[in-house]
Amino acid sequence: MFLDWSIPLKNFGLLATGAGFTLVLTIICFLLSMATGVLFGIGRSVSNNKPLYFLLTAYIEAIRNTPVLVQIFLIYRGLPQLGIYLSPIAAGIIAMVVNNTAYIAEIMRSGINSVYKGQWEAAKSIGLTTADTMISVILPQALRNVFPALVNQFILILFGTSLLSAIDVRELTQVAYILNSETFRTMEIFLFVMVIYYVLSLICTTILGWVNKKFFPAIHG
Amino acid sequence: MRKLLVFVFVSLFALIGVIGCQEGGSNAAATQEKSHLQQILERGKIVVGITLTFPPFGMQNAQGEPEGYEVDLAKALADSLGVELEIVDVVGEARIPSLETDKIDVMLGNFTRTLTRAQKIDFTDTYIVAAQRMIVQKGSSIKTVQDLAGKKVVVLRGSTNAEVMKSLGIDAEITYLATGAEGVLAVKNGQNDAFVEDSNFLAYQAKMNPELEVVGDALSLKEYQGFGIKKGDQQWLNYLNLFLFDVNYISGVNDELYMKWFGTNHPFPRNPEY
Repeated sequence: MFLDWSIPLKNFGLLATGAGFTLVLTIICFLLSMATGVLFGIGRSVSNNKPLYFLLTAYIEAIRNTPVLVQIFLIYRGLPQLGIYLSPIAAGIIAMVVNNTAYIAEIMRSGINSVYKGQWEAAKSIGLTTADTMISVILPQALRNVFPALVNQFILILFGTSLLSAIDVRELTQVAYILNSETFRTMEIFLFVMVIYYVLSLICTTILGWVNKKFFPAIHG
Repeated sequence: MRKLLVFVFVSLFALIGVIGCQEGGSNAAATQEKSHLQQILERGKIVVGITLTFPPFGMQNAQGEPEGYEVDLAKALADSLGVELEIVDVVGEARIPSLETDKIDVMLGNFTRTLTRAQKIDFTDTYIVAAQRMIVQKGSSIKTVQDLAGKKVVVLRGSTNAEVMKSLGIDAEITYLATGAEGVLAVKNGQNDAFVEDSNFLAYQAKMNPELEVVGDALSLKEYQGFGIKKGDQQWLNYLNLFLFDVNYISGVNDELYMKWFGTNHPFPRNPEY
């Protein structure tokens, strides 16, 4: 088999657009999942409200124990039967956020639980309300503890967006599939795409590693 | 850090180079390999690739067993060789890679013979002829090919239809999906306006889904489907061509199978006059 690298190189612009869209999708999905994930994590770690705790647990267990591809199909292909029509991109983002919220909620719960309970008592003794304590004392420490796990989740989302190719979201993998179906240069295209994913992932971990150092410097120096 | 990055990149590209070389090496050896025909007879089994999401060509019955027009044809092929039949489900875009990597001995899968594809694999003679038409919801405003302009149209990844539409100058919004079932579902759900595919396949889908109908003149010239095999295996190609000559013109098995699955006679001559 001779490898013809001119196909991916000639279509580099197309692949780069796909890679850019993958990155944008990843960032949107991660930020939205963080917003809901933090709330759900708080709800599951400190709330005394039993029905809420039960609901959140049911949601998280249901999502974490089913495949994300099935969730994507359910939202994009299933909901139209109930009269809810979503564009592939909207359905894709919703599915990714629904999925990753469950994981991030669990990460945040473990982070919050890892903060020493003396911190709660100290905050109470200086007169902080529960909400104030959570926002100014507990969450910053929890975030520091779970930051590496969150970076991990970010990378999982980056790769997970490739599943959206199944509903024709034009991210990097779908662009590669289309290019492949026009040229049949499978080996060249997908090796090239692997390198692009590798570079994307490397850039993201480098930036997030810098964020970690800058905002959460090691306590023990 | 920078040194590390450079190192990682260099080693990655070196790795790709090595893979490239190995591919070249194994191919040189492959030319001296035994023909698939010999391999099949020796191991007593033929591995046939069929798209099992493309009824009635290939599908799965309630017990999960493959059935359909091409499955029956594959059975006839295995019987002619006196070997066991193994069917592998291969979607459209995986047809050529599966042949190139020897995952299957022969690909049925409603495989249109095009010049681009013939540069990568070899095709046998024709066993079925089709034209590309469109399936839409009943009462849709789409009546002819030209009506597709500006509409949301499904094509399957690995099919020739996106290129055909481009060459006709029809500027439609194209959705690329992997399987025929998803394409039909997208039109049924109203998420897409039309799905362009093989007329034989669509006619069967319209029969199964009364809210859909097949419209339009043939989108392209007629398409002559053959079996696909790995490039360069002349012995195997000769055998398959003789098998097709037999089922097409001598035993008539092909016509019987077409009648069984499509409920009509085969609409086009398989051996056109030039």
